[in-house]
Amino acid sequence: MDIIICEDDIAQLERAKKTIENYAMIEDNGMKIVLATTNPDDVLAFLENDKADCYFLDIDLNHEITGIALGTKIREKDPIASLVYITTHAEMSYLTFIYKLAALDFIIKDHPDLLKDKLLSTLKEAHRRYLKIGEQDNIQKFQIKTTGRTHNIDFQNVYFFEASPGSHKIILHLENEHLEFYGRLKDYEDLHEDFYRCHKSFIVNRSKIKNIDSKERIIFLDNDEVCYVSARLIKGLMK
Amino acid sequence: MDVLTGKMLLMSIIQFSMMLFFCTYILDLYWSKKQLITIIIIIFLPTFLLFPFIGAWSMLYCLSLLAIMMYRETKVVMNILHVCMALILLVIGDNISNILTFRLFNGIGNEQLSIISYFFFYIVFGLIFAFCYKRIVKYLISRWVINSFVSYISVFLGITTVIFMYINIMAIDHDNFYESVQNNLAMFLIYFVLLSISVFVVLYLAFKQYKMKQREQEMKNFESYVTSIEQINQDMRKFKHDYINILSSLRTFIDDKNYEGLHTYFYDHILEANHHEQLNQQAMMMLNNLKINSLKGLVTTKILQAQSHHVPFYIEIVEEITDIDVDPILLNRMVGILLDNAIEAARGVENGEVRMAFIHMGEVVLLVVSNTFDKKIAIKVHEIYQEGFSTKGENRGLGLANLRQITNDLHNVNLNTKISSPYFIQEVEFRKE
Repeated sequence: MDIIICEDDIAQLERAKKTIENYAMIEDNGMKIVLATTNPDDVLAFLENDKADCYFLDIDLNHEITGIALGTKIREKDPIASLVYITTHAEMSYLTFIYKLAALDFIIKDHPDLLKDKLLSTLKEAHRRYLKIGEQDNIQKFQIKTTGRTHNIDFQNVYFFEASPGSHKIILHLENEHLEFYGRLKDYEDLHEDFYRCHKSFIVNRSKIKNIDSKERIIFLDNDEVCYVSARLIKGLMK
Repeated sequence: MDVLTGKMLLMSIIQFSMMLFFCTYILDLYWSKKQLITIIIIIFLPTFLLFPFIGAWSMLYCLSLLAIMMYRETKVVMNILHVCMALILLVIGDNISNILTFRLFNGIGNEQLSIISYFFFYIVFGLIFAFCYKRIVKYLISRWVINSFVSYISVFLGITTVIFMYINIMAIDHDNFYESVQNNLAMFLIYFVLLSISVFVVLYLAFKQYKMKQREQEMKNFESYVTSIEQINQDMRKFKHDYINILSSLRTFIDDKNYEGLHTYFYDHILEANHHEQLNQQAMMMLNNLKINSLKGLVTTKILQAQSHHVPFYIEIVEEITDIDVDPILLNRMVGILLDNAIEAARGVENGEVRMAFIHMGEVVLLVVSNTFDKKIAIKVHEIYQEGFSTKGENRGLGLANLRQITNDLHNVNLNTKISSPYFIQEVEFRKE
């Protein structure tokens, strides 16, 4: 796993570099720092023909390019690399980083004694993710575009789709999440062999059905949520 | 006689089904088979059996039970009015159908034809009325705010109308059926128009009053924003003053080479004090980027509210937010509901906190509100939008159901909900129109 650190304070940069190098040496798991710099331009130059897997970035870089702008640049080239921000408490914009840059984590540098532990735990998490990237090819996903964002959704995570009455919105019911987007149910019923259009307003994932009350025409799902099935389409489910 | 009972039977079946359809359609209900059977046995069958003995009064029995049933199903008082209105509109439909049939087919004298045409007209008018009524109700609910006072008055008006209507029906002169029906219809129509106007006026006045209160609240909110800013200004001035003092005390520690004391002083006094002030100031400073004044005031109020409950409130508005394409009153209601719920849930919870962010994602403005919640309560996403759901006792969970209702009616707004422990996260996406 290739690591880049960009931090304008040379002392802090050295400290972070040291911590990571020591850890990489003990673990000997292929982590290495390919670039440690105080200047974001170096990172951009590096990105011209190469890329890393994990980035530690300070927010205020004392440069016209801020850590956020740098993060945006990195994201344009590489949507899956881990971004970790090193920041002071006052600069903390937790949600903005997560939503805009899909940042992995934040290291608050106000408490130097906690910094090392946090740095290492984040590094471990980044490594765990890095190892997963290869595996993830086996898991089937599909994309949902909500206004402004794209969600990659695991087929196994889907419980059912629900068309909301009177508007062109669909609500996708996941394990512990509801996602709303525009579309027609018709475009989603053939996405996966387990998906079944059981009602004018519902597509259910068969693998999530706990049981079916055929008299009342209600489907109970594994998470205790319910959806409805129409009299005509129930036959396709009872097989 | 057989023909007459047959006609009676058919007529009641059709009228009952229309009545049930009307209410179900307007209220967007879903009945299970068991409920349907209960309705038929407990409500319709007795009505039908009672009819020959007490006549039209049996309809009142039907109506009251139906109203109770709808109320139990939805827990909304206003829905009783809809049941009354369903009956009134259907009676009007019935009268119109009678008159039309009489006008068209009286000369021909074909009994069967006139029955069929009556049913045809009845069903058509029923459907048209149901459709129009639902449209109007939906429009009013989405635009206007209906409080409990208004709903009680409307329900009262609705019930009175039904009673007077039935007194009128009782007075029908069966020897002169057509004439009486025509007179009746005229009376009903006048009464109905009067009823509609009065309900409308009551609603309108209530809405006006609500708007005025809203504006007052907005003013108050904005005032508290200004006061908070002034407070921060003053704090800054104080800090500047303190700064000099702090530096000089640091100097004493250094001159005395008292590093132990310096350490305690720095960590226990300066950093701690700084941290507490920072939290709020930062939140208020972030509001500078929010250029929608009414929202600015509202958020300030909520920050102060969170503070009074000792809930840390973090707000992030990194880029300027200048406009959101939603009616300001609705927008304020939505944000108010989201923040109230978040603060309520984070209150009294260990490490409880609320985070809020306005983020530009391309053309879309994304509002994220997240809070920590009591982990002992296993909440599920699909439960929280049910009317009356709340983790903190009864009668407090209307907010999120209302929020869902509001976003459903806005075609450029999407609402996503997610629980990823320990956070409960709501995302509202506002598209430009």
